[in-house]
Amino acid sequence: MHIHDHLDTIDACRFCFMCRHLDTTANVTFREADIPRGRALILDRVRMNPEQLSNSDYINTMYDCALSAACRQHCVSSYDEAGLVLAARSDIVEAGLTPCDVKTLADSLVAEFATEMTGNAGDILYIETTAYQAGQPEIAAAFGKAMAAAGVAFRTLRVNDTGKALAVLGFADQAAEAARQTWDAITASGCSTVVASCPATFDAIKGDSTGLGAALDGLNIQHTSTYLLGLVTSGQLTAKANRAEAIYIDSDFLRNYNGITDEPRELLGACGYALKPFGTNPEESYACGEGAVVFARLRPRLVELMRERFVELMDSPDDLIITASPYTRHVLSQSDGKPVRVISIEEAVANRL
Amino acid sequence: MLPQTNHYMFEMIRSELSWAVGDDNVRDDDSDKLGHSIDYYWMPEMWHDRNQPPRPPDVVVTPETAEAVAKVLKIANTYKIPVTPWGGGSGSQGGALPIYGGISLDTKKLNRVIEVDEESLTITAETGCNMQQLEWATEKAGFSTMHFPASIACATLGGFLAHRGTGVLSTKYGKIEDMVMSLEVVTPEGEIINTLPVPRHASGPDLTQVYVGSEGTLGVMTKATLKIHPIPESRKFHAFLFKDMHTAMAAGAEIMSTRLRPTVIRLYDEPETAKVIKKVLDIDRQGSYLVFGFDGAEDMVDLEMRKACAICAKQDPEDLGTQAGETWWDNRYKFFYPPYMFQLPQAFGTLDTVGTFANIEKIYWAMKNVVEENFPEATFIGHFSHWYEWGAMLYARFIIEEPPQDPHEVAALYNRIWDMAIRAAIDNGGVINEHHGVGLKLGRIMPDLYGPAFDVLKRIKTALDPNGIMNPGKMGFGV
Repeated sequence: MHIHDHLDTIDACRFCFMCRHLDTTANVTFREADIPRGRALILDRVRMNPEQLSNSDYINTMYDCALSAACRQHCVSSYDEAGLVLAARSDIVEAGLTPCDVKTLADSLVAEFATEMTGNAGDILYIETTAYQAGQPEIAAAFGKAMAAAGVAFRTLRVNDTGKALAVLGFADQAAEAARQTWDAITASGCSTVVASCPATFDAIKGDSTGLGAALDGLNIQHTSTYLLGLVTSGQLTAKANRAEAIYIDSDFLRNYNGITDEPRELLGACGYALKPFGTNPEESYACGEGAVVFARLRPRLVELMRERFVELMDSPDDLIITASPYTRHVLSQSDGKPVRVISIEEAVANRL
Repeated sequence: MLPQTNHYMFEMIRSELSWAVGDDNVRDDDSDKLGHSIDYYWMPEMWHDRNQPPRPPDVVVTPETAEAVAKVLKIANTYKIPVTPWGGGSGSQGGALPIYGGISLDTKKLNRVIEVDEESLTITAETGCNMQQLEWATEKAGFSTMHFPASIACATLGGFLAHRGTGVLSTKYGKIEDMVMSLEVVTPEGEIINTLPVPRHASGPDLTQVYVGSEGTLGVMTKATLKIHPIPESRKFHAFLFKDMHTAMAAGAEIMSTRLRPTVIRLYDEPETAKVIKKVLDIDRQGSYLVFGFDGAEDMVDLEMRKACAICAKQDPEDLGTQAGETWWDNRYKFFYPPYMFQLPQAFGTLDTVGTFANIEKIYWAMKNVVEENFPEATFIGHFSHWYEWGAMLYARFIIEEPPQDPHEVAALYNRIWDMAIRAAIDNGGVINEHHGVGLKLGRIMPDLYGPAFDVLKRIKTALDPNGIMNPGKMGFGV
């Protein structure tokens, strides 16, 4: 079983409560099962009694996890509880125990898989991941506006799923196939710099490529915030200096999976945004399930609760929210009541050109 | 307990609970029940580790209001179903374990901050608030609860109230029973009451303090008003290494008896200095490590710091300076994360007690001797964490690196150590516990501690909870 690769995490987390306050799911469900300790207890029982992997309550608990990795980020020993949950999901799928809703979602991701290349000039390849970005053409348009202002030509690879969504659902083989086709398209473009708006895509290409069987050595892979900051600091992109208050919401994949916290803030600062803190603390994930990539499709009720918590934590309903995650932008813009004023970091930059 | 889940009567009662608190707030899935069957007490952890089936609750109920709590308790009284309140589940005494099944009443959805009174410096909040989240909310308003226990991230406000919890800065700011102003409580029979709005009065016995420390046996605390404090201008620490625990204790006692107001004094005995301070702070020295801190206006902090250092200097310790003290403060919670915290397969327990300065070293040696002489496989270490004008709290631990594998054998060994060590403390002027509570772990020793006075407590319990539904089997009250 894949969970056997994470026995150190099971041992460490099964009786430890020290990150309870940061679990993204538990902060809206308040369930003991939804903290790393609860999940590790379950998987410890499965370790001792493998037949209990088929317990449907245990399986659902694994798929309720939002995978924000805020708890791993908080842990003084960085025990990889997110990795443990992913291993459990792989075990569930390989054992043929996939819940229907998960299977349906995975099947649709496979069926919808497609790549499309547009543009034919430049050494920059911009990746737009439609399954994660939930449409939102404004984001790619804003990136295009910034690139035009900087006078940089680029090509666009539109792909449904780089394999990341299938991977977090536990479908390793299908994820590898989607990744292989994505990497083939990247390689065929001949571009040496790859830029992604979606942090999950950035993480997939930068972090998962080797694990999924691809070799992308020599590529310069950047999130748009880092890439645009480079354009600003090199003088290729000039933003208006008028000041405005805004709140930047960290992406799970940028902060908790890749340690990127400064570049987005520097970029927004350079574009005249005076950033205010959000919520009560800098550790919690406010990305509404971004770490689970397609969580809004898998667990819409939990994501609704996360959005409600976000709104409750806002100091003012008029606050401007800027996020580096298209997923988070999508969730926050789905308000039933007064909509949250949320834009992507690309739009925040484009608005200042 | 509730009828078997395969009996229609279970569904009759579940339907009644669901009507009272909502479908989403009554759960009986295996994930929730497993989570509620083990708290931070070593015994259920060991039981799980040995792959023994835990005793789960029959249902987990998560009321969102005091009124909903009242409805649940009325239903429980009707059918005589055990109700065990559960906050963060991070108690170390087994107090939240639903050992007779029934309802695990999880308070975490009672999580609203009601009011910050900036004039009186108080905060009113529901008791299911996670303490770290409550502290963050208080800080956002420009204040602090000054309650910084190691379990701040895990435990709820109600949990601290239930077992008289304490925090790192208790020496200046007090334990939770010193911080609480007033309570809202749902009685076992489902009546919602409020205690008096202020903690100092001459209007009869202190009802607030009847419920504080009652560990869910006398009702469910649903709302509390706490004192809060301005963020201090300055907070500084200093550390020394004394040649032994006795000289360090003399210094600590003099700091307190001269009525300086440290936020914290922490004194580690020689074995813990060698074992834990080395592991966490990377200070590899022989002796007894002592750290203290002051906070407030900077000039006052500096003055008190100078006076405390001068007191310590009389014992001729090695001055480790301010950095060693700051490092301890920065790492104060690190001690409790894996792998720094003791964990299975080790058998371990925190034998905490409290006594006067006249008795506390006697208590330490009595506990240490009884453990080391009777259980040579055990290591005994200790530190003194929380200091008073009259004495100090001993946070002693025993650790067995390779305990027996058989769960019954190791449980018997474990209980024997507790029985002997705690009774040694009581015989020398100590008590069962200082801030972790009694729970399941130590209930059997309560009659010995209180003597005839325990009957008074039992009669209070019987009067308030005539059907005995509230947290049965805890605090020595039996079933």
